[in-house]
Amino acid sequence: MSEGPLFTAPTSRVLAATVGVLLCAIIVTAALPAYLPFNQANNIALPIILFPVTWLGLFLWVLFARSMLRAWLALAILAIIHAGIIAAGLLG
Amino acid sequence: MKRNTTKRYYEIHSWVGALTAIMIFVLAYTGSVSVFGRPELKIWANESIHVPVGHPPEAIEDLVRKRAADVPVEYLDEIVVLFPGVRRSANLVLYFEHESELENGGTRHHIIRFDHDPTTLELISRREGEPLELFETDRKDMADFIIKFHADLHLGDPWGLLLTGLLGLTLLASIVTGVITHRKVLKEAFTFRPFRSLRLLFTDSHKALGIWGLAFHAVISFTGAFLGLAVVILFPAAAYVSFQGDVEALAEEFLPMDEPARSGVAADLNVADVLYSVQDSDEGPVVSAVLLGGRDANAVVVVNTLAGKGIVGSTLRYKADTAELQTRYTTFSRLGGAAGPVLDAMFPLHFGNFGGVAVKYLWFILGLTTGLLAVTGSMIWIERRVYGTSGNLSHKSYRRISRLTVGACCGVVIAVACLFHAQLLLDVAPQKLGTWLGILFFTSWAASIVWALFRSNDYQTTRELIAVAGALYAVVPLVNGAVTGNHILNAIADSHIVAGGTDLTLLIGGIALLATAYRLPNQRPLRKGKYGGATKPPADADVVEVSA
Repeated sequence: MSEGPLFTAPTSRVLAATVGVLLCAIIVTAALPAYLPFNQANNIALPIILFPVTWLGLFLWVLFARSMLRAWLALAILAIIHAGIIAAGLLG
Repeated sequence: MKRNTTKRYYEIHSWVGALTAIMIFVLAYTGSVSVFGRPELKIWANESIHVPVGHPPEAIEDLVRKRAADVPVEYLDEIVVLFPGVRRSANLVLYFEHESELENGGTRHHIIRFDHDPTTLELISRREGEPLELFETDRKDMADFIIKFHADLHLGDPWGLLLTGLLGLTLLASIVTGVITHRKVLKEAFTFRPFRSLRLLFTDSHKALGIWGLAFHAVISFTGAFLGLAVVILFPAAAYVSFQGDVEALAEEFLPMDEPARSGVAADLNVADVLYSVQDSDEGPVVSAVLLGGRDANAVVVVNTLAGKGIVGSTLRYKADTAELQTRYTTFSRLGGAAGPVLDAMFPLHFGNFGGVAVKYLWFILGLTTGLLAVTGSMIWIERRVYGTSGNLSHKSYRRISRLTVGACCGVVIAVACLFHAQLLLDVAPQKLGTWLGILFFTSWAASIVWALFRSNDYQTTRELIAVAGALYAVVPLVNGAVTGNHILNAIADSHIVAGGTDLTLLIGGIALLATAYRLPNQRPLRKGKYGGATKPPADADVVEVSA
C-alpha cells in the first residue's frame, strides 16, 4: 500500500504557517495584556517575552494539522477573538 | 512517536534549515564578531583610546561646569556625560538637552553636544540639533558597522530588524524540530566519523555541534527573535493596545526616568564625589552619568554602569549636591514580577557582555558553532540532492545553490576581514567612514559570491576563499603595526592591551583559517581514504578517484 504525501495542501499550509501564524501570534500577543492578572508592565511584557513560544506552538500546530480548513479556521477564530478583545479595550 | 510524525519533523527541520542557512550563518558569524564590538573593537578601531584613559573625577566635574557655562540655562535640566572606550563612545561626550512643548501637544528635543579628546579633554567639536540627527551623523567605525549589520543587516528599522527577528524564530523552529528528530542525543553527541564519507562528516558534525551547543543555540535564537521583533512589532502593538498608540507613555511605563521634583532652592553639584562613590563600589565601569534637575537642591545624578559581579549592569541614583546614594536598580528591575529579571537578562545573554573577556571568547566560539550548524545542515541537504535520490530539481540547480552557499558564507568572512583593513587604511572624512566601510564590505562580499558562482569546483572555491580570508585576518596585526605603530610585541610595554589582544586574536584566527584551507580537499573524493564517498555522483559532479 503506497503512503500518501507527508503534507497535504502544501501551498495553503506554507501560507498559513508563515503569514497566518505570524499575524495571529502578533494579535494574540497584543491582546493578552487585557486579561492577564499581573501588574500593567508585566501584563504587557510577559506575552512579548513569550512571543517566540506562541509563534512556535502555532507554527508547528499548523504544519501538523490534518485539515488545512480546520487550521485556517482555528487561526481565524483565535485572531478574531483577540482582535475583539483589543477593540473592546480601545473603545473603553 | 509514529514514523510519519518523525518524518514530518525531519522535513520541516530540513526545509526551514535549507531556506535560512545562509542568512543564519551570516548573522551568526557577524554576531560572533559583534560580541567584541563594544568595547574591544571600538578601542581597536580608535587609536586615541588604545591606551586606557582615566581622568580624575574632579576633571570631569570641572569639564561639566565649564561647558554648562557655555549653554543657555534651559539646557541645564538634563546633562549627559558619555565616558570614552566603555561602550559606544570613543570621545568623552557631554550633551545638554532641552525639551520644549510644541503647539500640537508634542515635545521637541534639542541638544547641544560637545565632543572632547579622550586623553587631553580638549574640545573637538560643538554641535547642535535633534538627538537622532546628531547621532546619525556621528563618525561610524568598523565596530559600529558590524554591530549594526548583525542587528538589522543595514536594512534599517523596521525591515532589517523584522528580518533578523524572523530569522531568530526560524532558528528556534529548526532547533526544536532538530531535537525532536534526533532523539538519541547521548549516542549522537559522541558519534564522529570524519574519515568514513563526506556526508557522514557533515552529518556527525551537524549533530555534535547541535547537541553540544544546544542550550546556547536555543538562547541565541530566542533572545535574537525577541530583540529583533520586540522593537518593531511587539512593543508598538502593545503601545497601540494598552496606551492608545502613545509609544512615549509605554516607554515611561517600562523605563521611568523619575525626574526630581524641583525644590526651588539652589545647590551645588557634586559629580566628582558621585564618581568616587561608584569607583569604590562593586559595579563595573561607568558608561554614562546623567545630571537631572540642574542646580536645584533636589537634582540627582543617575550613573549607568556595565555589569560588575552579576550579569546585568546597574543604574545608581545619587543626590547631586551631597553625592548620597538614593537607589540602585537595573534597567527593568522596577517592573517587578517575572518580566523584569527576564528582560534584564535578554541583552547580556545575547551579547555575552558579562563575566569579562572569557565569557566573550566562549560566546564567540559558540556563535561560530551556530553558524557552522547552519552550514553543515545546508551541506547535508545539498549532498542528499546532488549525490542522492532526494529532490526534484536538476543537479545543476542544486550545484548552483551549493556555490551560492559557499560564496555567501565564505564571502561574509572575507568581507568582515576587509572591514579591519578598511578601518586602518581608509583616509576619508570621519562622517564618510561608515559609507566607505559599507561600500568595501558589500563589494568584497558580492565579489566572493560572483567568484563562487562562476567556478565549477566548489571544493576548490571553498579552499581558495577560506585561504583568502585567513590571509586577510593574519596580516591585520602587521597593517595595524605599520599604520598606528601599535603591534602585538609592544602591546604590554605600551599599555595598549585590548588592541594588542584583538590583533593576536585576529592572527590566531587567520592562521586557523589558513590551516583549515590547507587541510580541505581540492575535489570531492569518490571512494576510499579520507572523506571518501560511497555513492556514485552524477556525470557533472567534481570527483577524483582517491587511491588507498
